[in-house]
Amino acid sequence: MASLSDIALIDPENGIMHYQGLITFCDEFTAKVKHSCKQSRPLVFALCSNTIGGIAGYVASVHAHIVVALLSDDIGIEQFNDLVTAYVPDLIWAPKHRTDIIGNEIRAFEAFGYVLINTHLDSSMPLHNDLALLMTTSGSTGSPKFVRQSYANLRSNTKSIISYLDIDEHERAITSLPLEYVYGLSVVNSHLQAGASLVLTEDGVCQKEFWNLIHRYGVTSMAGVPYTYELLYRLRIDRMDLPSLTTFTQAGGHLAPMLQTFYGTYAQHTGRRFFIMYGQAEATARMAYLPPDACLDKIGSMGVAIPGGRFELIDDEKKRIDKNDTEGELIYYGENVCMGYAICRADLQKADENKGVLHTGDEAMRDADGFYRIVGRKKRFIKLCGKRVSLESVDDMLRARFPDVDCVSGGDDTQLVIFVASPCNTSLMKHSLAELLRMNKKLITIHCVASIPRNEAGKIRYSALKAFLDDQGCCS
Amino acid sequence: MPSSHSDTDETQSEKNDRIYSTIFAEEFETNRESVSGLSMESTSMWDSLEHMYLIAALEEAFDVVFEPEDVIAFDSFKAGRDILRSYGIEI
Repeated sequence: MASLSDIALIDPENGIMHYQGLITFCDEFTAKVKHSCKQSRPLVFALCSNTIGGIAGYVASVHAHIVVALLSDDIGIEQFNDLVTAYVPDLIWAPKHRTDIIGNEIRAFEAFGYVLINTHLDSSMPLHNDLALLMTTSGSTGSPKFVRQSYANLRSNTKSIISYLDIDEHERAITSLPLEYVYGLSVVNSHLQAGASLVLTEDGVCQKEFWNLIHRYGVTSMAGVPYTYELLYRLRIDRMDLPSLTTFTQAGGHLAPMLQTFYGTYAQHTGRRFFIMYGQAEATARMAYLPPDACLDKIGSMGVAIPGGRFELIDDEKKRIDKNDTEGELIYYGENVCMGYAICRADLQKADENKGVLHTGDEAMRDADGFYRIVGRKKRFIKLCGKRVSLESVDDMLRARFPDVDCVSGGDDTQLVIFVASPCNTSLMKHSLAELLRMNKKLITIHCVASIPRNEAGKIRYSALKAFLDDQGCCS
Repeated sequence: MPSSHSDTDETQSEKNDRIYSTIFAEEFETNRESVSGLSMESTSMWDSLEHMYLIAALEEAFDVVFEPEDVIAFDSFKAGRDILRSYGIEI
């Protein structure tokens, strides 16, 4: 059993925080919030980082029973201001270096390189009592949409994750993912709830310090998106000496079959555990996992529902599919299904709209053993390096920046592809998109086509675009 | 008819230096004179995607295969040059 004198957070920059220290911080934070804020349930915007300040600020907000919206600490000021306008937060918890956000506001509280300020914006709109957390899904595409997660969602999903990953107080995870993503956050929630510990870093697998920390602190687990596991494959992880690192988890998109075989084999040969998982912010974090023993037998599968959850497949008429090996939309039932979305402060008053049922938007099949595999997506988005990119939003950007160009976005989880059917400056388009979406240009391809496929009504036939990806065409 | 010799009669070391700098200059959209100070820490464009691309480009240009420790140690223009030297590349 964990005790208060056990280590919770190890931050190479800021030192070690034990569970007692975390509780003390939470109490202090709560007192300062009460003192500086007249609302009994204020809304705080917290800018995230994998540091004591970033994590403790989140934990303290939930502990204080105030609603917290998690944002990236390098969020652009325009996007931040748009969110402030839409949601009228009462408080902001930001790292000191964001002077553009903190301005000259009086600091209600300062700790671990972070500052708490009261916005003095007047919102008399109350927040629903079950609401705990607001998470973005759209990253940098600018949409102000949040997923509304409840205290019950967090409790249930965290408990389930601890159970199937078998996390106990001896585990020590490294923060290999951003805190403002549900996957990264789930690593923090599950390890703290289990009384385990976390090594905090902002470095990635390509950096020396990441590996130094794993060795120095005896890190036992890491989490990654498919791209992380591609990098580790090229870094030849199977030849690295990593005595403490015994558990690897993967989510945030589909892992290539070759890599599933590689990691399944690596894990089997070395007595490690490699967990493929599936989830989305709309389900708090996680819906499914592939038991490590099944990894090599079920290539392409993301497994079975997590403890307490349940899947169903429905056909085009919304009827349940009972046959195996038949495609349908994947529906998930569980206590971790979020309350719904929000696009403005008024939406934060709403109750639970989903009532434990989530239409995942993914098309899937179930095999004879009850294992599921994702075969397609209904919604128009891709996941690049684990981050969701809405193709609708990209189309909006293209319309705004390149109004005279006949184009549409598409692609898969490895590449954003812009199909262009009229003359355009492809290099400028790529550059603009890379800047707007804050992504590396290498993830964008401009594909020139003769025409964009449309039906008689003039609507774009998105499914026909896939055929172009196989063409040679002219790409840049 | 253009001469079959290079105009400047580069040494192997100068040639490798030019190839190396050109890879960086193209990747980071700058000129060869400005690349010597580039590092993972100071250059926001140098993310993990860029990193793997640089490794692949250097492996191909110099016909070497980076050891994992060197992939991780390669965190700046200068560090990359030292690593290539350790593989016997004159640079």
